[in-house]
Amino acid sequence: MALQYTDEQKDFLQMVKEFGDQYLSPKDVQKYDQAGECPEDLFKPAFDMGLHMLEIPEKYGGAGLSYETTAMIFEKLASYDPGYAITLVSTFVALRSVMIAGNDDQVQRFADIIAPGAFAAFALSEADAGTDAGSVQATATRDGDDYILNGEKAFITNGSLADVFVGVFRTSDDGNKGLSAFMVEKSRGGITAGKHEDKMGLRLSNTTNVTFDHVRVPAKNRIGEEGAGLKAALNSLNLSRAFVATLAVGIMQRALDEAVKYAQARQQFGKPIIKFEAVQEMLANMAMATEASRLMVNNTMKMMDAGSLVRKEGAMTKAFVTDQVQKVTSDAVQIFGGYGVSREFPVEKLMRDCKVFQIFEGTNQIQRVTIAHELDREYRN
Amino acid sequence: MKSLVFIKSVRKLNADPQLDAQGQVNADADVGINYLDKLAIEAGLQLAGTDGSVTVASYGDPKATESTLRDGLAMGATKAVAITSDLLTDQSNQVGLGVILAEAAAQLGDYDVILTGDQAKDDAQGCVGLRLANALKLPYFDRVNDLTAADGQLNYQLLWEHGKLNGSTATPAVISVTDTINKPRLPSFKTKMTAKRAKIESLAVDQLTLMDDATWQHLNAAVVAQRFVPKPERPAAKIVNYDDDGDAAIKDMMAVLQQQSII
Amino acid sequence: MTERPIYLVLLADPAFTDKNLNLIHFAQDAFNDQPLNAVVVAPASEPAVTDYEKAGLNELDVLTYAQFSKAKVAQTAATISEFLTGQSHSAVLFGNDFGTTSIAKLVAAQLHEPLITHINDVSAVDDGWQLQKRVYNGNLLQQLTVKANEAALLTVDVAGVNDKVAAGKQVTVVKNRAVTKVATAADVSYEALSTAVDQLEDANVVVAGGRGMQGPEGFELLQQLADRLHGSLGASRVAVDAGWVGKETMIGMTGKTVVPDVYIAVGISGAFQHTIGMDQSKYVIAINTDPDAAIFKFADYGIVGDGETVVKQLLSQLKTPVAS
Repeated sequence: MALQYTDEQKDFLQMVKEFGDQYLSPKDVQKYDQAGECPEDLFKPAFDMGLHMLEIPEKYGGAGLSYETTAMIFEKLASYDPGYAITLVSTFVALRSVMIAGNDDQVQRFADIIAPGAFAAFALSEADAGTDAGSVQATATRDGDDYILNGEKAFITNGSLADVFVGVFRTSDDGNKGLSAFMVEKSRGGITAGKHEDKMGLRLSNTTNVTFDHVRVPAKNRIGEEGAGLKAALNSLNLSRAFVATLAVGIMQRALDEAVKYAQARQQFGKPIIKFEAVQEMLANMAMATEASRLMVNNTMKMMDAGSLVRKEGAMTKAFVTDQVQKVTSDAVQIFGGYGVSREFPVEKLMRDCKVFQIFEGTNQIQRVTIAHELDREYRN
Repeated sequence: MKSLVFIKSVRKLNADPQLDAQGQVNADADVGINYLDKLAIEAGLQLAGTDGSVTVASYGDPKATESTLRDGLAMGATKAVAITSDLLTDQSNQVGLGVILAEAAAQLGDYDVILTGDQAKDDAQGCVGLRLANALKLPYFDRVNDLTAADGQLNYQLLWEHGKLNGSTATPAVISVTDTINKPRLPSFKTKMTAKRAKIESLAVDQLTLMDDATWQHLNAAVVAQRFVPKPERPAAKIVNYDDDGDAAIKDMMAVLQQQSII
Repeated sequence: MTERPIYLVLLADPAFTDKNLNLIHFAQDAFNDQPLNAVVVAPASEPAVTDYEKAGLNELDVLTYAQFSKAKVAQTAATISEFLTGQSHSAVLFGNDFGTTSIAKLVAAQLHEPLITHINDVSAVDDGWQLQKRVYNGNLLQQLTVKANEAALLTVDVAGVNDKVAAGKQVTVVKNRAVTKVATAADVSYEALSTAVDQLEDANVVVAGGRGMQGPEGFELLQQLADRLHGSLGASRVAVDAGWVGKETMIGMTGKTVVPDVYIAVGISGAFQHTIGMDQSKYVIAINTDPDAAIFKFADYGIVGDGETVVKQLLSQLKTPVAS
């Protein structure tokens, strides 16, 4: 590991290790992965530990950690299972998005719901509004002091678990400027989750469609001004991009750990395969990719701690790291040979888990558009 | 219910060599809270309910004591006390430790139950609780496997090899918990952060008030030296892979059973 | 070496008579030719006297009162304390089982004498004895030196002592002492884990299973193997907690300590909570799917493989006559 950890960070990583060893043993994770879902009870210890509120200030019930430290902790947690980790990340990113765009009352009400142990979800995508977020069709209609929400959101992480949502709804026909963000408590009624997606990877996380059917929320639940919804969504995406990259580093580290251990143990032609140059090259490349990715994440997190919006850096980090993880996990499978594709062994899951990282939180194609856009702007000045 | 939990920091065995020339575990070894003491804290937290409290207290090397007490606070203890005393002149002879802790308990007061782990990993003794109880003239129960409070009484269960012993006692009492009583909670990040900032109180035990001098001498007379030695090495096992050659493995096992006159 | 006699405390308990004889054997070995006194606490003088009068002790004091029970911990401790207060003594040896240890602790408190638990070796040094015990979950040994002319209570781990004291030696003095003043006992209830006399601790072969057995069916298989080898079934805590097998089979920190000739660990990972109860076994065979399992560090012979498969094949092999 390339980073110089403080004693405090070492302590925290040890806590995560104890947590992971206790609750996310390879055997248990394999079981949940095969079942395609994680028992909701398994998150109770994570809530008790406060893993869903790490970077949230203490006054709202969080631990008040920096993004940098939070990222280290989530890298470690993701090495046990990234699906479990992303369930918690989605929860605090939703709260953080309220902190960025909302007011103190909203933050406090939101935090009060999740602090004792509950999930939150960010509901932006729809069946026909993925990368093109501006084509959101779900509506929020003003009715006196309230809004009535209608529409169906798609691919929502924590869709059937969340007690509170941040949703983006159309308040006027004015394209991107017609979108507004709302905090929507499940208890308002009229919110139903669709079928749990039977996914290729991240199978411990919960992904569903969510239907809003005449959900009445007071105007005080509107986050920011009417029409500022897309901006709020994009700001929170800046944040979550760096965090999904952190999870990908965790997957890479796990792939490297497993591959090296296997290469040391596996004998062919009378010696461990780690002694063969072709295997050595793969392992060395995997290690370099992992270290570079970790450093990139760490730097972006530090910039975020310093208040930067990391529009370009977040996009670069997300695209670079989640591209690297594809090769690293694929090479881990390669080193395992025939055992690599077997479900009895731990590496094929890493390959399945990492694919979606190139897709969600903005595809890696759109990240490059963002990067180029930012470059263009920089060099113009 | 208000608990006073005495916890011990123990040195961890790291890589070899782990013993110094005096036969002591290297002083620079990492230290950590003794595992059974975590269970004692957990028992205290469970007894505390909504209006109770858990105080952790520890005696020993100041730096190790502080980190151990902060570990206790991180689990949720409400107060931490570092105990100092010059009365134990030989640090490797811990026979009288329980009496020193009893003096500390007497000074602290305000407890319904005193909890300890059944034994510490570094001496496998389990004598602190009994000295505490004896000096404070309180009932003592060791190997406690289950502990609940009801109507100001404590119901306990002791776990023995062939059976379980159930009873109840008035409070205050001294209880040493065994490893099946509970699963200690992991600290939360929030309590961990709070614990880092928390104030640790200190308490000095300067003289004995609960035991006369002659008795103290009698207690400390017999044990004169203590050292650790490595355990005899067990030669590395012969390990075979069943999938590679299952028949050979079974043959080997049969040979062992014959060799040991089992079959 | 010392003017003060050494005492052994023997608590009458049919399940522990052999252990008490092991303790006498250990003491006679450890303290060479020092005269040994024993005090027996029992509901009646028989069978206590018969059990121990041929054990070659110097003096046998038999304290009797009808309501004696080991489960009355404080009452038993008070009786022993009162007796020992009246006798000049050097080392006082107790058994190491949990109940006796609980009692020894209270005696040590009442007499204000040091107690050193889990002793497994004693050797003579100048003016005293060097005691040895296992610490750090069996990863280190601790040696303590105690003065012979001072009082110290010891509990002795006799799990490794296989020989009972040879009968046929006479005891010099037998004193029957009826105890008339018995301390009041707390109201406790004792719930035995199993009624059968327990064989596990004395078994020559122990076949033990853990999490890897995956259910009660796996343990039926292990029971078959144990039966065939005339051994006993053991288990790690995980298996007991899961309810796959009875609590009386539990080996380790909270369970029993076994020292068989052959210990077969099937699907046991080897956490110290378990290994502390079996790592003195003479020959250990470990079977586990995980080549990195800690249990292999305690093994003489290890098989990386599925426990059920291996045991099934071994059983079928055992059924066919061994060609010699």
